[in-house]
Amino acid sequence: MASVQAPSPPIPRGTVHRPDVAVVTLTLLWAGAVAVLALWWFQGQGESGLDGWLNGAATMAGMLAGYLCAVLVALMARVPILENQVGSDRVARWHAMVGRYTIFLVITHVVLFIWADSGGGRGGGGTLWDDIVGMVTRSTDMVYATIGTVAMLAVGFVSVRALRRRIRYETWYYLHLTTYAAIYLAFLHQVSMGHTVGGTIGARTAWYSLYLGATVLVLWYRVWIPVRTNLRHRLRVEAVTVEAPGVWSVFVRGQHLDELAPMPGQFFRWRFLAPHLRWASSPYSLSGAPASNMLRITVKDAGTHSAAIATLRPGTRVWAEGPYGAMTADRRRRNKVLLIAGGIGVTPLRTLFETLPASPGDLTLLYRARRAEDLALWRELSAIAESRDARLLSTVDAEDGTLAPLTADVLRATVPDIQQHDVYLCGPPAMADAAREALRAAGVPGRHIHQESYSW
Amino acid sequence: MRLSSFQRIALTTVATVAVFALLLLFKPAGAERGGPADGGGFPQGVTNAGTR
Repeated sequence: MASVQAPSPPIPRGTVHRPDVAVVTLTLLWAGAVAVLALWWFQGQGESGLDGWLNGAATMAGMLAGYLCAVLVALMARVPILENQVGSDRVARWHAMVGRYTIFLVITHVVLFIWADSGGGRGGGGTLWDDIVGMVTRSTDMVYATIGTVAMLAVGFVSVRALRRRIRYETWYYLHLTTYAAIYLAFLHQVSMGHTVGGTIGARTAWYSLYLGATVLVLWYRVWIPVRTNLRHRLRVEAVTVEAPGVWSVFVRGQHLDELAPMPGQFFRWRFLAPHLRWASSPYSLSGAPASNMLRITVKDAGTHSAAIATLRPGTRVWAEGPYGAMTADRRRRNKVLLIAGGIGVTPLRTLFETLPASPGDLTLLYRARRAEDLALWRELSAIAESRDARLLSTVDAEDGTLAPLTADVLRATVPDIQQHDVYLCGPPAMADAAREALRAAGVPGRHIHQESYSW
Repeated sequence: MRLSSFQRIALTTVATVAVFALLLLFKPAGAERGGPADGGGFPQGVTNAGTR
């Protein structure tokens, strides 16, 4: 096990400046929404009467939904600057939030157009069903759009948290992929029937560019780069070892791995070409400093995919995408660092514990687990702590199941100058949320808490 | 302050309705109508063949 023999000099405070990628991205997304509404504003003239208002609102909802569909695709394209500067978990939350709003806009678009088409509720001589059928069959593109809308609503339905928890991740994931087809099916009617989007050559060009841009991002970062990466590095399972009850380390051998340049704290999405594993990729952090021919991940039995990891045989081919993740040394702003790990959340923090530049006494790892035997990688962590003169602390739940408290008082008692620390936090969502609240209550500013969530 | 899911949905809905209403109210009025009653909405008679 490699260890740092002499601590590197601490980073000078305030020397790391870069534009906040999250703020820039959100500003661009909002600007895009404003531009879409401006497109509606400057196309044609004002609406009047109920029919006009219904059509105007339906058109705006449709245009915004169309814009956000492209945003949804782009957010999931795994663009490195977003994955590594904003964080995959935060981008995924944006994606979910935009997805929910898009569903709302699509429903609004459909309902208002049907309402307008039926004469604004005055009745147009036919039944509501006649109006709907008439609208859907108005053109081939409307049939495609309807199929796309139904698929999109179905995916939105299975993504509702209460339902999502009842289905396997792999099932949900592949259902979710149908959204791509839904979005492109709906695209056709936007340019052929949307008189605002398709009305002028400029608007049409902008709309095509939006979708083309999102498509290129996906094809480049989710298809081409992974294919190129895996052909180059030829990853295979070297060995699987037991770390703790239900916790395994997987050693993956490959070529030229130093070219991937993963930073401590980052993760890859792993697909093992073995039974029960080949159809899904899961994100697992590196649990050891990467070597030029070997990577290591450590996985806890937390579901079908992770449980099957224990059965991997040496030589199994591996498909990896990454590295991703924003919980790296770049985030750090202060000399003193506290790492808080919950359960298997220790894996990215273990590499940071080993590599973060720190003076003796400036680095602390607080490791929480249910039982003492669940403290995976403890021996390695102890060796690192000793070699670096860092503090390693653990807390486990009581035998009767009472959770080990992680309150502001406990944190202040454990790390008296906690307000002067940067804190890296990784653990199960409930534990991480509780720890974050405790940190804020203990006086740690939010901008000094660097958190990664690994729920889906 | 963290909003509940219901509060977020309510806030989003109200904000969207408000923005749409403002835009509809203040967009300069003219002859063009969007509604089917005015021959608008989806441009009548427009087909895929006619637009591509």
